[in-house]
Amino acid sequence: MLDIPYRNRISNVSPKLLGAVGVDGREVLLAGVDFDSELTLKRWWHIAGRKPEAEKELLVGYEVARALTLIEPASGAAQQHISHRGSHQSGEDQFQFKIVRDRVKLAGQDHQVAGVISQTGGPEDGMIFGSLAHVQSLLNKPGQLSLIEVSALCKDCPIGDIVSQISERIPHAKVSAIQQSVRARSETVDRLTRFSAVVSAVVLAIGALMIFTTMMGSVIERTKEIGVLRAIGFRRSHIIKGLMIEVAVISLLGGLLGWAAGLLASWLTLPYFAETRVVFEFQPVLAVVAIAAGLVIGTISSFYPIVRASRLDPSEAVRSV
Amino acid sequence: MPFVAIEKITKVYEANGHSPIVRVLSDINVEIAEGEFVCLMGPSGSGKSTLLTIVGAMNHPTEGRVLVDDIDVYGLADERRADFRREYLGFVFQQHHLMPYLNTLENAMLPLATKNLRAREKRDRAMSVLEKVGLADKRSRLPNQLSGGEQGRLAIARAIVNEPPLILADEPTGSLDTKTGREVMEVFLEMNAQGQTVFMVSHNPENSALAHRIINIVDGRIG
Repeated sequence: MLDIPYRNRISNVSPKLLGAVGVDGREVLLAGVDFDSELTLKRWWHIAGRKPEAEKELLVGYEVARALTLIEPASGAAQQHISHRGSHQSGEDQFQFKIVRDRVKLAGQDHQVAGVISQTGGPEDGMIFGSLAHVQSLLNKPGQLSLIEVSALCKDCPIGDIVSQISERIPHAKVSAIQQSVRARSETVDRLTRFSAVVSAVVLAIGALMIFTTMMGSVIERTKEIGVLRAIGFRRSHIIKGLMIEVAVISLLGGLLGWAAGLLASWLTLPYFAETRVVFEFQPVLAVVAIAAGLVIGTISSFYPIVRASRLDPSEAVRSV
Repeated sequence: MPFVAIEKITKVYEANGHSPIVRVLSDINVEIAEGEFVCLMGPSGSGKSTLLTIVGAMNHPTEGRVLVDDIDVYGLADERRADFRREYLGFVFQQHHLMPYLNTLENAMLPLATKNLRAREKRDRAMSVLEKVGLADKRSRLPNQLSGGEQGRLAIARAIVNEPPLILADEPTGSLDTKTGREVMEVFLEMNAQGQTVFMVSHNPENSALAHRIINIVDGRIG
């Protein structure tokens, strides 16, 4: 991993060496990659076959495979499939093609085709992928790289800062952010953030309504008690003050428990949703806001039922038993 | 001048969707002297309890007025009327209406909760009335750990802890057996002997025989 101050925001580093190579009399773009990093990065790739494991095993783009007659249209036969959505899963899936030839000569050397990437519409359709060390040797460029793809998947990632930090660390390399990808990712994050805000608002409204109905129920249950208190000389203001203190204490505890439960739930479930390593961070501001929100929502929702309770006629309240 | 003056009290419950107009009390006039023990008797539905809650500053009469110590009870604003209840009245309910989650001492202290007294003083006063009604040794028990008679005595302790000049009791022995009923009545007599005015609703002739005066009410009118 890159040794930069923002290294904890970087989820993946995928070095590449690119070069043209002759295959069956054609010039094809060959990329040397670290397959683990590359397949983690390119989660949208669907591979018929398997991930290359040995030195002379290749992953072939769809257009190249077609041109080299490595594949032909499928006629109902199932091809083993590796899906890279989230994690490496393998299983049976139906592809539009099947691999009919799994050996090619690359720069005069015999290679095994481990898998074919189904059509993506991207540059990988016209490429062949081999292991980085083998391609460096094949192209006679030991220890050389053409580019490094760095992925920083986090909300509000400081992309500009990460770019400048990498530039400082590798001064001879040209480091630039893939703006389109950054923008698309940022838009997705924004959309998700807005959606989360709407969901939170709805949950908040439902919560407030539930507190309101619970307090109404509680007041009805305690009609006799309130009537007795009024009968023995408690003022309306005493009843309101007493019930509001009770609600405030319950709301404070509720806010505190809600914050702790939310923190625990996100800590437990986030690793299943996030693509980056989740770092547990204690944010005092969030705690204060959550507890204050619990207090405010609890007291506002309870205010009307409490005022209504204080207005109960004591004789009616006592007689209601 | 009487300590309690009930003047031309009429109570009418307005008709609602299901019930017609109900005239519960009609032109009631009663005077009670300070230190008197008065028993209000009458059959069920005659308006006894309604009259008691009207004297207890809890139920606004349709017509007439109630004067206690020359204070026009219903001329007071709502919050002042609550103060009046706290300073002048001790109410004993038929069902006692004790707070089930408070122990004996805390129930007895309840009317002092809004008083500007030190906690120690509140506790001492509550212990003093619990001793008076014979419950000092049961101060830590919850109401459901007390017998019916003890609950009745605790209700009286709560009513007198503020040392109110007027005690109002709505059939305080109604839910008790004869023996415990007598125990409770003895406490009332003791309070009355110490100068407190007692106005009690009962249809038990044994209880009414202990009062200085019996007022009969039938169909909302003094008989």
